[in-house]
Amino acid sequence: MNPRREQDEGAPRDPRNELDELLGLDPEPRLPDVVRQRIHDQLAAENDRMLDAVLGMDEVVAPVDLVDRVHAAVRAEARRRRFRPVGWVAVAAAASLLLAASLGWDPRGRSTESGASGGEGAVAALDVPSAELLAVLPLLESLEFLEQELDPFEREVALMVDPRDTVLLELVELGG
Amino acid sequence: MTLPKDPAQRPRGEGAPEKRPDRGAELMVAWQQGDDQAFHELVDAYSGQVFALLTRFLGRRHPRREDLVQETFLRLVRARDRYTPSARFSTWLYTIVWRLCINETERSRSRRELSIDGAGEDGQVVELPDSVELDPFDGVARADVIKEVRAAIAALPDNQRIAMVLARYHSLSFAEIADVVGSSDKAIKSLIHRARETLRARLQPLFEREAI
Repeated sequence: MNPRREQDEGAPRDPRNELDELLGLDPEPRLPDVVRQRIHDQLAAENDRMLDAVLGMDEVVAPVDLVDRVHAAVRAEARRRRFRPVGWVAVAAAASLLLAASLGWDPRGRSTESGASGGEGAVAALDVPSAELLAVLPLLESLEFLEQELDPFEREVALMVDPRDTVLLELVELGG
Repeated sequence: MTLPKDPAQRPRGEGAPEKRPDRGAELMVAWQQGDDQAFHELVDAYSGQVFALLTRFLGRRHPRREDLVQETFLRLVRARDRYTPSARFSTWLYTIVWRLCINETERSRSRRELSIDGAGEDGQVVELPDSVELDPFDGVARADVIKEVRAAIAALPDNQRIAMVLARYHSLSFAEIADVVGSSDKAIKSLIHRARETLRARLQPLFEREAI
């Protein structure tokens, strides 16, 4: 037998120990599962709220001219798309029509030396290109040639030539 | 502070995507029918959101964000006749943005592979937070928080980042995000959950430090 225990049993009981024993009879309080779950849920919600609050501090401000730049890009793309299928031949044809109109040449054969017929004749001429005009189109496609190969004086002379004079234009193209 | 709720917490029913009025879809249909002003309104209404999505996904140092906004709307123009109002307009638009993001990310990665400077110790690309303008009333603390938030978002994997950003900042439902990224609702829910857990773990010290 433990001598110490023997001594303890023989000693008078301390009232404080008795109180502790009594208090020990009261079972450990347990949080009901429902309440515990509710606390977890509230903490999670609070955590979510704080995370959202922190994430919400990061704002993105778009550049002030962003909308204008988008519209400009869309317009440019639309122009490119209109231009692309036309091709160089049609571009050259359009250029030649403009050139012919600026020189006062009527593709239907009427000369507009005085320019008295004004814009109406030119507009009408654009509607129905003459056979002559169609014949010179391949030559007028060589605008690049005129720009690059001729000096300014030669170019001026070439542009003064009546486009109906295909022989002369051919000579120009051949460098003759 | 008024906080937008996480879609995961949002009640369904009247808030369900298909029930909400879709101004974007209305404008898109009007534009298909020849109303060019409708396209202008679309650009006005959505270019900022597209920019925000690109910024949050690609980071604020990405030099081509504005170009990509333009590219988004150019693709919209090209796809004009293919749109059907069965899908919400924003979902359709964000699908275009997401594809651009994927292309851009792959392009950036291939560029960075050539540069040792861009990689961290673990080989992951280090996304530097954007410089933050200090608010004189809030001081450095707020700037630090914002920097930390941006860095935390940037560090998320791509799929978690896009899902989290679309949910948190663009208020898309799981189903809508699934449409955008070509996944399932369940997968999106999981991605967002993981993203938020990662963010919460990383940003937890801020919760304690900041009086929010």
